[in-house]
Amino acid sequence: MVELENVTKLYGKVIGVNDITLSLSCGAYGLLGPNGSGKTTLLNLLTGQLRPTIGSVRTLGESPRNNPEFHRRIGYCPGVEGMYTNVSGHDWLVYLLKLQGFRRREALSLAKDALELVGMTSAMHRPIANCSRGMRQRIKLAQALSHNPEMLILDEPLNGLDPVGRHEISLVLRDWINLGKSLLLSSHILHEVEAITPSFLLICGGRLLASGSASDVHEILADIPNRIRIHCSNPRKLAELMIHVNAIDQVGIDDETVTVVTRNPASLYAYLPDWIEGTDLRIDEIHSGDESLQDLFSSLMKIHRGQQ
Amino acid sequence: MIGIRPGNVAAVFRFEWKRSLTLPRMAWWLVLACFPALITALVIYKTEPNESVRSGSAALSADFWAVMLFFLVSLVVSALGVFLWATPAIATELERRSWVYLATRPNGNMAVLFGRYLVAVSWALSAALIGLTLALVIAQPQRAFEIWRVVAVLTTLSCPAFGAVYSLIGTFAPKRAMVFAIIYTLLFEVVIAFVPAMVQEFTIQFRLRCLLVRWLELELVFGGGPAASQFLFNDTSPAQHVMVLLAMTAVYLLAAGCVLLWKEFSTADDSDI
Repeated sequence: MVELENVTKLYGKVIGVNDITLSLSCGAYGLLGPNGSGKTTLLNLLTGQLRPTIGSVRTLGESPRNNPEFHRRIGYCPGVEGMYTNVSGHDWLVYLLKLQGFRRREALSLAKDALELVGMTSAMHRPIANCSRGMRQRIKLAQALSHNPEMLILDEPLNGLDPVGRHEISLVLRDWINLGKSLLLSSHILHEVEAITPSFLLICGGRLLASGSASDVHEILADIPNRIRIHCSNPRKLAELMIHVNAIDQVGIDDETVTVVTRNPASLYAYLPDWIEGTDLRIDEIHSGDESLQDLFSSLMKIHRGQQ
Repeated sequence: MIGIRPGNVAAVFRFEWKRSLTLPRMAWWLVLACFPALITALVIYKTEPNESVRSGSAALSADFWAVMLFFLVSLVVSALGVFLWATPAIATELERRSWVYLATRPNGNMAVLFGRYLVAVSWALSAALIGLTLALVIAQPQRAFEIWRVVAVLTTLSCPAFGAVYSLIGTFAPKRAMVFAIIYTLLFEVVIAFVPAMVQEFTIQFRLRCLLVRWLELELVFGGGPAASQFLFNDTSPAQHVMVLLAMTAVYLLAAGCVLLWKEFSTADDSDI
């Protein structure tokens, strides 16, 4: 599906992708990395928007740069919004389908089907300017799916969607994978990708750090402390309760927030109901965030550089 | 295979024309279309203050009107019309970040370039031809139809030619396209076009000017004497001038297409690094 050979992409003196060699067979993969890690650059190389400074890129067995036959076979959902705001989602899709080579009647039918698939039937004739961010994200996905390509390349496709929307779009993508088609989606959120595909590529600093299944990632994550922030009514009281728990490595208090570092967040979560019930403690917010993922990337970068 | 698919170009052309039917853009079109008529009316008013002869404009020769309408319509309205549309064709897509959606379609980048070029040409040409007709209706010169025919043909040649130059500039340097297009226009089409040297033959204005003089056999210009006419015109046949103009248009468009294939339009900013 994808073959990269010593691919490096430089933007002047800035490095976008750094010496990546990779061979992926057909299937579904999540490209995971923090913001600024080079995910979009990699996707731009795979879709032919960029040519590598060094190395070679082949996607679906073809060179993607200036290759109309290749562009017929892929569906790309970019990370940026960039759609014409004064036209409706339906008209935008029909336009793109015509550019894909379909006649008007086919384009109308395919656009309608794609918008229905992503749950945009009722708002398909609304100008994009009047659509919410989630709706725009759905339109973006619909334009990638609409011509029934062999492979979908999606850049942060779940950004801007509410939890229900994320779930619905995850289902659409899982159905897509179940049809035996290929998918490569980028994200900086682990569980988002995990809900869609069990195969990961981890990228950071323009380098491919690791690849494997979700269990491989969790195995690495298990050794990395998880940082959890809890906003509560009495942080001193909560911190006092926490220091008696073995699983907790570190506790810190900052205003009304308790920051906990633990290698076993599940055991911490198990204690919380009892603490709330037995005291006048009120917990307002819990943030687990992606720090653990950031820590994972930091650790992998250190391993990559030979510092660990 | 890399190329231009007429269906794709037609899709962009139709879509962009439909999108252009907004109030501000239609107002611009109206301003361009009315501009020659307005200048014509002002000229008549200035030269013929007597109310009784204002409509006839008999004091001004047909040659004067031919030259004035050539400059107003074939040069100013045509160049300005395509300048506004063709120059930012790629830049607007990049700024809006819609480029990636179009460029990942089969020959999508070419379709955008040529589709928007055709929109620019048709938009400017329609405004110019209506402007020419209105101006002639107001001026009512002798040989009115002949002037209309010649200036209309020159405008039909100038719009695609200027559009091709501006498309090339817009493709080559999208971020500074308007600035470079203005520099090109002022430097080449205004200054160098009047430089009595071979370099003037590379300008669009020179070719159009020679055609105007040849086709209308203008006495006004040749009256300046052979020395003056040598600076402004040459002896090349009209057919050759037309061929050169068409070739220039084709070469500029081809060059714009090549730049589009060669250039990378995704930047580090777009690529989250």
